[in-house]
Amino acid sequence: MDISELTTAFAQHDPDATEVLAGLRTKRRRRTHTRLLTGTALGGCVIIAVAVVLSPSSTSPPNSGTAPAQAQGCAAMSLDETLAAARSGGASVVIAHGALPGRQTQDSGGSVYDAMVLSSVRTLAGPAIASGSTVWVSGGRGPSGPVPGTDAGALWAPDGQLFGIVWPQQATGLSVGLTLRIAPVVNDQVILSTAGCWDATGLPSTPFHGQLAELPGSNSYARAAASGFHAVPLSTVEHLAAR
Amino acid sequence: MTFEEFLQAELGALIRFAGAVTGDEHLAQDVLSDALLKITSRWRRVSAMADPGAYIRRVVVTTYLSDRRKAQRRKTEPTDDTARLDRATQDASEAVVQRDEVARLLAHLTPRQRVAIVLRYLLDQTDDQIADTLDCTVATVRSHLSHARATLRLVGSVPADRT
Repeated sequence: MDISELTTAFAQHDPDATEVLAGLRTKRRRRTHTRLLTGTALGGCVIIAVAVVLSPSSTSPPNSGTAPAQAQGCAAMSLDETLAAARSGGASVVIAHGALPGRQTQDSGGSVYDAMVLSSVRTLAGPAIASGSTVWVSGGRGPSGPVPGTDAGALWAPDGQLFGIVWPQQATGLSVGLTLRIAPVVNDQVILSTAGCWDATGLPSTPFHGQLAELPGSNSYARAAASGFHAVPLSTVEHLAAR
Repeated sequence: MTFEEFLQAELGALIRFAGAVTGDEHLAQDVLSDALLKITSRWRRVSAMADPGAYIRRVVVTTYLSDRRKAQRRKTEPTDDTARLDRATQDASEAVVQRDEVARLLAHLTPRQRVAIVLRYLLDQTDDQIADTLDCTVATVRSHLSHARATLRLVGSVPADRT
């Protein structure tokens, strides 16, 4: 064998560039999903620059089933465990109002994130988050979502009130900065659903059928409604967060 | 430089490198996407390096070697003579037969020998650079190259060991 034969042989097994990039995207989604499930990072949230308010009449009716059914396809991780992981991971648990300034960015891996400015922030656990802070939520869009069949995206209250976990950059490894995983807060109740992969298992909850905000085209409300919305008293969540 | 800009500039070269190192396009695809995945979470630090490409090639190599170790433990690898099926029927093309022979000889190399050969003859790297990528001594690199050359029956203008 001579060198030219050797170098020719080396060139006969080049993978297809589009396949490599597709594989990379798939693995990144899996990693994001895993981080979400283990409470070490934001994952699968869908946030938009202009929120729309959806009501049950504009989508398929929500399931009024019991709490344990609401997290089908998401992590089998109770809210208590999620909050414990957040506290031990250096994240902040907050109640706040969120507004979307309409800014988007990409992290180093190419995922899109939308900015959300927090106001009236009350930090329940972890490092204090100041009002006016900008956090980033994953901006994956579309009915399939970042993790098809699992996370339904992101929802928050029509007036912007939300419950959330703010993850520091050093915990997520994401280049965008502070990232946020949210749930709506309506009438002193935290609305848990597959939007954000929240799990109300074991918590006192009642079915919720009210309006929530989402991004046009994200289909988050309808996707989450398929598994039902569960209203958990804010005082219960605050108690869990403060443990 | 963003990760996307880096990919646009370097993906072609990384694809050729991964294909040469693994000798299997599907494995190359898997190894390269795994390596790039590792890079994305530390891109800020990697992009500040003098030669991000060299670092990523090293990650490709370590990912490949790790995969081969796991494959050995699983003991599910087929015969290393992957060209056997091709030889079941005669091929009229002499070029194909020759290619078959080259592939057969390459299949006899260990993963580390193959990486050393790729780094030397595809990327023209020195023994020191190869040692750095393989995380071994220069003497070990020379041993890998020597055994690999003997296995491949390399003839002609084979470059001497370089440091």
